[in-house]
Amino acid sequence: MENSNIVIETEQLSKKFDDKWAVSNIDLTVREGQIFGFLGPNGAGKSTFIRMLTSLLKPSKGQYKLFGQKPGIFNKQIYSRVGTLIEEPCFYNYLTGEQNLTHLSYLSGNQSKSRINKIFERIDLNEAKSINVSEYSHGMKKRLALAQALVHEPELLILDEPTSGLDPDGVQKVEELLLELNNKKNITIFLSSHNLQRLQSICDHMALIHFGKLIEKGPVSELLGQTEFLTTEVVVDQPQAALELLLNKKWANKVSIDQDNKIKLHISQGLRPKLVKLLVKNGFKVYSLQARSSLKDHYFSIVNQQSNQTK
Amino acid sequence: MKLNKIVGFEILKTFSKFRTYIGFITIAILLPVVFALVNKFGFNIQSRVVSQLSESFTFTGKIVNGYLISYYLMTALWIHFPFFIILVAGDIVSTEMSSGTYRILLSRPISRLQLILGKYITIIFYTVLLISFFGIFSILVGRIILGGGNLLVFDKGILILSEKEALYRFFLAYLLAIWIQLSVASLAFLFSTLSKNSVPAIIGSYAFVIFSIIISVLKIDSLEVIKPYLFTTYFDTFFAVFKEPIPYKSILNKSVRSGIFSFIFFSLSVINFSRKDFKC
Repeated sequence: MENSNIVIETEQLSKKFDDKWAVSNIDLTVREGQIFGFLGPNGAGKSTFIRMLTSLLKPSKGQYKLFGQKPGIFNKQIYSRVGTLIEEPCFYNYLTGEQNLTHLSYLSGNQSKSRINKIFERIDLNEAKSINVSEYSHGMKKRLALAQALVHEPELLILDEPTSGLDPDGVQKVEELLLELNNKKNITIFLSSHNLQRLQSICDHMALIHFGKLIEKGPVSELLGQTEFLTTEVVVDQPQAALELLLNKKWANKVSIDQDNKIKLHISQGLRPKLVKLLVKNGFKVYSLQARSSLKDHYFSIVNQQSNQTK
Repeated sequence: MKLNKIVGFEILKTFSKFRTYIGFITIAILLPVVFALVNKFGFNIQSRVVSQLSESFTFTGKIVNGYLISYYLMTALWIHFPFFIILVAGDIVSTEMSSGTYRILLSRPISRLQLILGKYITIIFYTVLLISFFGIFSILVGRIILGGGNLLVFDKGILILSEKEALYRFFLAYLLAIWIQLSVASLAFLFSTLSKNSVPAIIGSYAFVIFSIIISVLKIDSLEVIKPYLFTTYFDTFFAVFKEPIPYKSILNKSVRSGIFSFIFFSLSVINFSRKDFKC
């Protein structure tokens, strides 16, 4: 892809607090139209990294570019193309939702009243727009936070935990909205989340950081393919008996059975023939065996690996 | 022009808070009460002056009028203006650090300089509004309750100013009061950029102002050396416009010094705010 398609580019981006590097030498490239998931355990440096991208923190080392431009102290015009939602939504509680959104929209360069009204309708806050934000529930504030990120029609969305604190219905609506924005308007989305399953369902690229360092990055499909430990689903004729048999095997991890009588276990790819052999040898009829990779498995395998190395 | 949008938003935020109105409410209650009490019970200065000067002068009409009481109120309350100003200026930057709203402000296409300038302009606007309100309200209410007339000013003798001249002097005095009080606003603004919430910023500013005022007013020779370097030394500059002739040169000199303090406080605020990391 050409350089013009790069939306976020960081070079050796680092941040030091006192003597500790919260983020260290992160090189990352996010291209136009991608939904980029940014993963990492608590304290990994995700928020620090996002705060540097949104100019809240000054990098101690390295630099970042948005749409090929390096934002300066006096030149922040590039942020008119960026919408951000950073952690918990904070608003001016003594102002109405409409006053908050209108003025924030003006500051981002959007003066269109109809656009503001449209956004209120889109996030189902039309009837609450004249109420002070102090009266809003957490979910309403979260939706308003998303609205302030979208009101000026940005080309890039930087979202830190955009669905935290929302009910399942709210989470689904936000994800649908993000996918719609990405599909229809080609908006690039860079988001961090702890909800790995949800992240897997919407992201096409991801990066994982741990202890402030970038562990890996790339397309989700590729990274999941590298995962050694995968969830294996087995369908046999006597599931309960097979379950008991497998629970005694040390090489089979996290053995369980689901409502459909599918046995699930974590084993490495190389152990699959051994599993089939064991079941057949013990008289079970193996109807199917399926390997399912998940971002969650991948994430934990990497994080555990990194934690062990650090120890 | 983004700055006007920033200022508009800052003014909306500032005037949506109750604390902004405390100064106005105090003035709106206090002044009519004082004027009404003077109207009902008199002002002992009248009898003192008349008895002292009746041998030399013939007085017709009232010495105690709206202008005289306005003048007394101005000279008595100048030291209290900083409290109202600090209440708002000490809050304007720091409160957004504790509430976390810089997250949605600083990630917009506005520079930190624009934002801090917008906030400072709002504080100037508030200071101008508060002192103007005091000046106009005291003269208007004074005139309504106690009537107009010449203004008697006691300063190494008696200066009698015509009504027109008195109004001109009041105008100059309040203009200077605004200028001088901007140094207090700037100091509180600086404290506001240094603190993560408004309470330490407000208390710190009050403490600094009180400390400086005490040093400025103490008549101790050894303290004279540091007085020129205290911004509170120039607090009473506006009294000078009620002298005859008006010492324009001295007023200008003191005003420039006071302006330098405002500039230094504001510059330090800009530097501090521009270099700040917003972790919360």
